[in-house]
Amino acid sequence: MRNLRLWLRAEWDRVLGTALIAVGAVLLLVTYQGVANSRFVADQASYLASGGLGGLFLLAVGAMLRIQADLHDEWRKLDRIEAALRGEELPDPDAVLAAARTAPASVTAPRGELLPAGASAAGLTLDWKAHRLRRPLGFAAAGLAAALAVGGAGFQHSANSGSAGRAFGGLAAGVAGLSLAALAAGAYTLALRRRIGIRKVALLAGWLAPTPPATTGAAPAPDVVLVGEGLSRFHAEGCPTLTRVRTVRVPRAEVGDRTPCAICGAG
Amino acid sequence: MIRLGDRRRTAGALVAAAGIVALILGWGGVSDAPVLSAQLPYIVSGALIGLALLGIGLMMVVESALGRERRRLEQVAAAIRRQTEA
Repeated sequence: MRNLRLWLRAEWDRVLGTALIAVGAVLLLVTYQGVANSRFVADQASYLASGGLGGLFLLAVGAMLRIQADLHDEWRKLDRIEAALRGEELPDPDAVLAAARTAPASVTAPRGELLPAGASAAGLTLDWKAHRLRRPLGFAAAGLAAALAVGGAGFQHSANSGSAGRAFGGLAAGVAGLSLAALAAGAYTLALRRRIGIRKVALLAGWLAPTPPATTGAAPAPDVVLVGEGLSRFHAEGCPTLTRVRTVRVPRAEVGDRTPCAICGAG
Repeated sequence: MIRLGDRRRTAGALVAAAGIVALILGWGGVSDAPVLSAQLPYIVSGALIGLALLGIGLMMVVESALGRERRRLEQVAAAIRRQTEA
């Protein structure tokens, strides 16, 4: 990998998730060894509250990050579909990353990463703010932080307690923290999935709508069409390419050198 | 020909099945152990590691399904590009 920074920027969640899963698995094995080699129940409960539940916590967060990475990939695909609907072209992130793996870096992206010649960082990462993805991520982070605090308090309660009852009390708090973490991770994943579903409907509903009955001859060109700032084509009312695009109505004769949209047949 | 996504789904199902087996074996060990200190290692190996395997297996199955969805979306994007260029 010749461009590690670029790869990490695009794949940070997948890399971090895999690392957390590996650390969680090691923690579980270490916990098993500790519990199996200990004769005292209070010590065993402390191992469970720290390594056992801690390992499961890391596994849950790691799995959440890996699934989030897949959902983000899907979001980037929708970015490419939206760009294609507007007649634009976004680079395929997989192709850019593959190029970064082999080609020497020669171009500097906005955040300072070196890109292979001819590659673009557009569409490689998510614009969290523009897509309003910060709020669910913030809620998930707050839920995981609260879970970590509850689990940490449980570990403190059970560690070095010397009494089985006290140690199991701490273990119960750890289980509560782990449940909270699972809840936060699940809610975040579902929220992301729901937003992707809403975006898919917004982008593709126009394509999935039933085709109007065939008429004899070509449909007459509309007298009034829609144009938008920066768009090189003019469109008919209801064109699916205009999702989330601000447009104005103008007479057909005033479109200037704009060309008709091939999808809605505005010409 | 088996694609990577299908292999991942199969592997995920196997890992999840291993997790369920670990949970059952853990339950058997706990029920046979006479004292609490002998039961706890079974709880770790059976319940915790079983739950971990189950979770990882399900994650792999979900990843496989999302991968299939992404491939379909890429086909949609390619079809739209073809149509807009026509």
